[in-house]
Amino acid sequence: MKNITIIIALGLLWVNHVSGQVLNGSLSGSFESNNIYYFDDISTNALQPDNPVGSNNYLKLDYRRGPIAAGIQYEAYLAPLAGYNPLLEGNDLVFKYFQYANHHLDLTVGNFYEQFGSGLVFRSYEERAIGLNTAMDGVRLKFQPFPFFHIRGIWGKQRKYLDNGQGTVRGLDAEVDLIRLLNPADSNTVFLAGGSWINRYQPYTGPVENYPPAVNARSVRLQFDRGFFSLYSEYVNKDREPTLSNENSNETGNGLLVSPSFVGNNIGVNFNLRCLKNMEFRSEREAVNQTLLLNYLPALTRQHKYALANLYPFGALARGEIGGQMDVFYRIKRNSFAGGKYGMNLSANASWYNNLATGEDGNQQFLTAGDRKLFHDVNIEVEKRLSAKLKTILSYINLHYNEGAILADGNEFIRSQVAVVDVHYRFSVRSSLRAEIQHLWSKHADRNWLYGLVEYSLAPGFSFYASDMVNYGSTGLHYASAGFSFSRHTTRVSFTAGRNRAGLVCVGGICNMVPAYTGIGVSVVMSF
Amino acid sequence: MNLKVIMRRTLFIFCCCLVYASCVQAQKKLPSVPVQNLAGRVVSTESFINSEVPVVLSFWATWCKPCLLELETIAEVYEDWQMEAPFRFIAVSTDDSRSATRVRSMTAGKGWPYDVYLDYNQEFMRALNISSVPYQVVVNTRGEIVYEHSGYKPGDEIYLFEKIKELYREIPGQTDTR
Repeated sequence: MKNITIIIALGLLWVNHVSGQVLNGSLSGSFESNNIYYFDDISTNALQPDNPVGSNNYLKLDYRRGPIAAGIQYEAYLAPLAGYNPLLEGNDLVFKYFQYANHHLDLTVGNFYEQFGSGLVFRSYEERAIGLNTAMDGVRLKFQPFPFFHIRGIWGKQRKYLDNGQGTVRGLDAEVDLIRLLNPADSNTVFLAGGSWINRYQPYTGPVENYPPAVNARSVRLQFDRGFFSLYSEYVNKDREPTLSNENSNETGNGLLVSPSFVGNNIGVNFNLRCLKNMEFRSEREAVNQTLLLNYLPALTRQHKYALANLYPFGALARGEIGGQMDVFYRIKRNSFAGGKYGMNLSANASWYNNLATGEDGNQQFLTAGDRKLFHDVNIEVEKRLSAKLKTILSYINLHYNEGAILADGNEFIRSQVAVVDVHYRFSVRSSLRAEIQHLWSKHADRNWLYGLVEYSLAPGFSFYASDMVNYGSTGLHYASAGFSFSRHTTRVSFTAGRNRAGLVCVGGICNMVPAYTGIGVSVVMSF
Repeated sequence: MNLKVIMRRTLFIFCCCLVYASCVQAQKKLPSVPVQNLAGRVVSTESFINSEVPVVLSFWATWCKPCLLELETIAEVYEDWQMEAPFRFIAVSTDDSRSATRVRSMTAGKGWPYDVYLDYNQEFMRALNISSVPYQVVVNTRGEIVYEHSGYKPGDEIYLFEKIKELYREIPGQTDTR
């Protein structure tokens, strides 16, 4: 399959090339290279690995001509950077595809990414920052016979490090646009209804009787939008599958997501309410960490922009959790009493998660909260321009983190508060300075932290930063870092040097444990 | 010669061809990819091409600090710019389902004047070979990509606007300013 894709792609390009028609097609691509040289740093227990250099490299090329597209992605981990799985070491052509698409039909052979609904039942995607790639390798067909209906089918295996996993995945997803079907004259309302089915098959040769080699998951969803109100909701049911990571549970999996939102003039409010019960779903039952995840269960909490607010990040507990979050965004108009000359932006967010209650049969009860709190985060942000040159952002975050329930090796319940002052000053049109001061108060874990950052930038090409994060009350360690970057058009080169704390790096609520390291780094990112 | 060696050589030739082709290729066109509007309907990025004014595509995410800085800065000068050289500004959110519901309320709550679309599994971003946000793309009235810029620093918007004005002047029947 892999070779055929390349040969087809090559053939196409060759035909184009010799007939002088390459001009009619377009070629684009990107290249990314992240490299770090590690040093021994005894105070943080960061040790230089045997190979002192880590290097992650990605080259992606796409060729398009009319309805046809083909491309590759080549990855080389020489050796993988700190925090990336050592099994990634090596290099390979990990992604190759050929695609034919018109307005009704879209066929992909080879590798592809896909998502059904909100991803509760299936999402295959790439997140380079944490070394996650759950690309499919197989066939995908999308078909839209009428404007109000589309259906998608997928079949294939899923990527595992530089290879494919053992499980075979099949799936179908369909969606009906009810308003276009029943009342096309109504252009103010959207009402979509959809459903998905995923089947994962992996032969079982172990000793357990009646062990399920095939696991099915199905979901139904709806999306409604009219005027100031919109609602997304999805419900999932997944077959039982005892695995090591769910403690050999025989519970069926269930998930429910309800997300209403309300918008008005200069105001927006949204809610995410979700319950998960035994929802871990992978294409290989032995898989761990970020590999072979079939569904996407992000932490539905605010993803903070500030370093200290990210010290204790929540990761969704697929085994069982119930909770939700609310966001409010409000703009006070300019030339008003509270808004002043430039107006003012306010935003607030609150989230809360508990475990699930356990019934008399020892199983978790869906949609019933238990008495163990996992996490809460209440935060508020005020953004105000004071003059044409000066702008400030103030932020306060109150965060409770049940380390014992969230991390395998944790046992503390951490209560913390964070305050942030973020100041932007513009010297001229091109030249500006940004400074951040952050403080975290806590009587738990590593106790208090102070963080400071200055960043100078000169558009369009240059920026420089220096930061320090210092602990007091526990280790007293400094985590200082500095760097600069140049960018021109679509190319950016950056240099960094500094000390990094061991901890969770989370992207989209999927977290990766990164060990402490000290080093100097060079990154190049370009697209063409 | 084993298969792996053949594969590698083939790949090498393939890459050479591609690099050569990229040197002589015609103007890059905006790829046609499905994205979602804020009401949840799927639309093709083909519909972004506007035959009367240039289109700015700004890739962003609700959790990306420089992205918010860029969108806030342009919102402040948006009306003045529109008076000088009309253009369409599309903010393409790359938020996935963790934060996609926040996009609609944030856009309303910040009072942004932009058309906003959701690229929730980053298909559009990948089709344009964008590795990180913020990222700006300018498309002319023929659907050709004529400007790309990675990252945002205060002042970058000046260069973006220069490009918009240059494109506006090229449109037949337009004068320098309205």
